[in-house]
Amino acid sequence: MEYIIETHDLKRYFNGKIKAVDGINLQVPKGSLFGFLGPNGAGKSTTISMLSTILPPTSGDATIHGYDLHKESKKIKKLIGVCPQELVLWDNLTARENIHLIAQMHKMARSDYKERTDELLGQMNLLERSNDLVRKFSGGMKRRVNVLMAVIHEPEIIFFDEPSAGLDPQSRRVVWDFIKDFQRKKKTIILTTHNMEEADDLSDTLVIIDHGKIIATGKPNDLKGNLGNGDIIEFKINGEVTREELMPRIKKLDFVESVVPIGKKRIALHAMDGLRRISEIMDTVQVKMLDISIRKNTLEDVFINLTGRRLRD
Amino acid sequence: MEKRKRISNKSRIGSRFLALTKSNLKSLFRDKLGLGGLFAYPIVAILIVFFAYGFDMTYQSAYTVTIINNDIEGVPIPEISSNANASLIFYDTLKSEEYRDTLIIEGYNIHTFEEAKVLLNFEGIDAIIVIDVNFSESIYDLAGHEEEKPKVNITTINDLVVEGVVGSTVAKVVNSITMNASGIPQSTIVASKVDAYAFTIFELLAPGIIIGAIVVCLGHLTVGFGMDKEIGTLQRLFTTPAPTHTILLSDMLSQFITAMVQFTMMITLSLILGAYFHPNVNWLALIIIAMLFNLSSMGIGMILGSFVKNGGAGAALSFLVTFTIQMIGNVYTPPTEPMPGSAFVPTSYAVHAFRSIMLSGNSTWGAIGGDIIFLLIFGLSTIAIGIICFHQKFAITK
Repeated sequence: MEYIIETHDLKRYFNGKIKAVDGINLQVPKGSLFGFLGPNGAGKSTTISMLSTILPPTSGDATIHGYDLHKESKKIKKLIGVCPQELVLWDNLTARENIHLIAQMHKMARSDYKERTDELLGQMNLLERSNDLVRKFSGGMKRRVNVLMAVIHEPEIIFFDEPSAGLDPQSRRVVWDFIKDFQRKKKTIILTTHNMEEADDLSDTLVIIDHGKIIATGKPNDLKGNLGNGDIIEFKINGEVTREELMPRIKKLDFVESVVPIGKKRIALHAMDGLRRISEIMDTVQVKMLDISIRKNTLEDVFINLTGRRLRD
Repeated sequence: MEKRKRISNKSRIGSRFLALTKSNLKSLFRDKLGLGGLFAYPIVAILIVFFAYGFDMTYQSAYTVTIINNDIEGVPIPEISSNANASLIFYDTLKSEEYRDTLIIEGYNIHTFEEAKVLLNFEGIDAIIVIDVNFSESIYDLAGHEEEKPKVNITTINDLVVEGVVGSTVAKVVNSITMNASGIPQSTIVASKVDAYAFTIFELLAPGIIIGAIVVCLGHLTVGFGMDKEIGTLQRLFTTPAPTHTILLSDMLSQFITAMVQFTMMITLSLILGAYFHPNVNWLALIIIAMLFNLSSMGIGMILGSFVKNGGAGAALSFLVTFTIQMIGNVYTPPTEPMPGSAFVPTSYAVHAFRSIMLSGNSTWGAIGGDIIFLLIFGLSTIAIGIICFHQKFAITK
């Protein structure tokens, strides 16, 4: 398999002690959509900043398309497009002017970028407002312009850092379809998100990252499958019995695969055929179970299973 | 698809630079509030100085003169075995109560005519009185000889009233001295006018205020870099293949252009408000100095911009620096009283050159060459340091 991005023990410390990225090893296959899932502050954006050449690593090596990150950033910059997490736009330029500016930085021919800008604006339903100043746009419209600026020059590798953050469901779907379109064109896409649905829906390969370290890698279905094929049952207990007393009792049930504490009072357990056997769990627990939910496992459950925390904790 | 990825095959030297500069200027001129502030500050500054000092609000009842006394020795008087010096009598008489409402004597430490002429231009001195070396001799030894009348040269500003009042007063005093000495009042008053002009404080300060307006763009460049970092636009550009110096210099050029527009507005406003421009003013030299000083300001702004992390920090830091170099750089002080440390800031060189060109009409290399060299070296070196600082501070990978 041909890897377009490879990193070896990549680290980035701030002020010498804050370990934003703490030894990441990656192999990103060419043409894949590679997702980074993790809570805020996990190190996703810092990793993207390093790979997009604007933040030098504290230590470690990386190659992008065979070019050394430390020595050949100029060549790397020609290959990449970056959609930052924040809305990074020139507010007093129009949507069209914003996109043109990035095209001009990549020295695209004028006729080419004009034609392509129209095409992209049409895809994002922004053509009618393309000559309006960006400062007059809604957050969702700005987010879409933010995405277009990363792809105007048709880069080989596109970094999308939380591309749908703050978008309404409809706009989010437009952005996801747009990203999938690039996936079909066999572009390599690096996507960071803390939205498990986004990670699940878009990623070919997913890396789960926490406290600057990779804690799991695999295809989304494989990661979920590793938890088993049963149901996730989640509930809250009242204060009469402690979780520490309850959890060993639940674990003894033969159909329960794992039990994880969440927050202060909640317990999540993974059980085969959980819906039918919930009465047996109640008999075992013998305390009042509140806010019971039963669902199929998600990437969030994978994260909970690995860290004992929710993605948004 | 291949067509889309085509890089323009036209000559593209500086195309990124021009595109960025154009975008920066568009952004700048579409930001009405920011633009208003940018142009309002210098206009308000010059209007304040104009209304504070632009009008001659007091009735001038006395003219200010300086005296250069070349008659140091006096003349020996055998009867008293000592020297008599009529020039001192002349001096004391002019200072007496009788003439206090007519002449005010300033500049006791002035010894040469050239020094006095500087005062004539800049310190509100109306006339220079030069006492001849043989003044005492002609009064005491040769009294009565028509050809040896005591001689006093007067140089006044180009004003007939001043010439008349000072000339007649001096003649009256000299005549009173010769009357006492020989019984015959006689004197020779040689009066001449020079192309000097009694400047108001506004006129003296106007060149500095114009320079002060250009400095304001230093702050805008610093704040602009701070905001670019805060918003992330600078980082976004750094992910493109555009070289760092292209990005930074394009920001600088847009502010440079804005500063030159400001300069043009300030010159126009100064003309409207009646600031003094010497008949021999060299407009090209004025523009060159403005551009060189602008370059220096941009260099300082570039260095400050590399340190600040957001617009607020940029505003605070640039205000401090701008205010300091305005104060130290003699923007608000008369030319004869330079501030300590002014030799180290570009503002003082620009103000010096502006005053020389605007007020004295002197744009020779001898007058402003030093200023040009300092501003050029300062500007280029600070810009280079600024770019290096950005590389260091902004941690751009090589």
